[in-house]
Amino acid sequence: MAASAAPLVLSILAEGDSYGYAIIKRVGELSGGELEWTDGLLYPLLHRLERQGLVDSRWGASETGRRRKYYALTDPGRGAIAQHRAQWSTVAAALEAAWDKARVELRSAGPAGARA
Amino acid sequence: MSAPELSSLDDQVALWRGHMERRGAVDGRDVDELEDHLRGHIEALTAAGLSEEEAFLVAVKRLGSQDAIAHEFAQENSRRLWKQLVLGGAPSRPADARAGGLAAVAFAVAGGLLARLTVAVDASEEFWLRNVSLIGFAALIAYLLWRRPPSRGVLAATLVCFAVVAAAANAIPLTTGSDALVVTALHVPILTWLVVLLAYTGDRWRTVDGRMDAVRFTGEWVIYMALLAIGGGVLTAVTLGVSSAAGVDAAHVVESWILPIAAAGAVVIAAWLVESKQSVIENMAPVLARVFTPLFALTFAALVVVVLVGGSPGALDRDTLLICDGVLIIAVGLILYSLTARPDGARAG
Repeated sequence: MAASAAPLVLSILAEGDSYGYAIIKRVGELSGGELEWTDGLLYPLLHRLERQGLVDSRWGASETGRRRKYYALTDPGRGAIAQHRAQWSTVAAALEAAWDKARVELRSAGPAGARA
Repeated sequence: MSAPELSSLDDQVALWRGHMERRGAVDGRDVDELEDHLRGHIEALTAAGLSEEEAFLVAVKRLGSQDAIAHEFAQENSRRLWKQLVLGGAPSRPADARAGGLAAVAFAVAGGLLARLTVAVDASEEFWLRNVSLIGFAALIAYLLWRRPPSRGVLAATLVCFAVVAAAANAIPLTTGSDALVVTALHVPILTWLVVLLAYTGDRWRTVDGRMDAVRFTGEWVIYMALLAIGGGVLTAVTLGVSSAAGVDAAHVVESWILPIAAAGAVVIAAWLVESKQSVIENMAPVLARVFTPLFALTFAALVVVVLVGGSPGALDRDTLLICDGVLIIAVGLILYSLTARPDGARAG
């Protein structure tokens, strides 16, 4: 699972309690279908988040009466989202800066390379 | 949506579930959760117009390979394998009195008492060489027959076979200390074990799956027996040490009470462990078989060299032949067992 998976799952749970299949669907909606996970790997991730105390789980029932496990964000989970946000902003800003520089260099190096 | 289709979907999901549950790292509740996901996805896909079969295939594919899922779960639950071994439970099935440990303990105690009574009646070496397996496996056969009652025919066949083996073991006149007696002692257990396997497979004795299961059962049972024997050996040594420190000679008590009862009891307990902790040992047994097969091949090669160097095969002494016999029995067991070991991920997903 990508590094973005944990913050994404936590953020989806910040919208309200949810369960595995709905979380996967929400990831698809949020990313416009661009992010496609191997569905089954979400569950080990959810269990890890639970062990870390970032989410809580309880067994309930689906609309059709099937046993279903629901997850809810905890207060430490909310804190973790704030941390993730700060980290991802930093990463995004750093990447943007790097790409800006690369674009400048590409602009100057590209045509020169073509002429040679 | 017609009824047969529905049941075939349930069958497919159940099959998928069975494969998933056999993975050591994924316990029953994890599989419940995955099944809810699978069924939720199937419902969404069928609502979008797919047939149930297509929906099942797509949903399983999207869920990912069972290997990958089990691997992730294993990393998350690295301690769970040990928990299973110690506390049991997984794969958790609905409570079944006949699968419970209590019943196994009852049969084990019965087996132990039978062994103890027999020791009290006749403790001569000759009698034990002829009958040790019959007495040791009697409770196991009873337990297996009770655990999964077979049809009357198979039940009768099992009992008749047991009686035949018992008669054969005791009918041949043999002198104490003769090699023939040793050969008998070596082979009666094999015949008795075949009866045990008949009791184990029950009505499935004619199917390939049933026979494969029986061979697997044999290998796993041997491993559990060895583990129990190691534990029992340590316990006995400690007991002897403590009692000799206290100035009591416990050797007689150990020999005539503890050993027969514990050994006969362990026979049943090992069988119960094979059944209830299958997912744990299944990862271990093929590995052990693979480790020991080349080692036994080497031993056997060495034996052949000894035979060749020793001169004409006709002049071989009986002891060497008996050892060859024993090694061959082990070799057959190892080969059979390696063959039946389920290849990883076979028919999974």
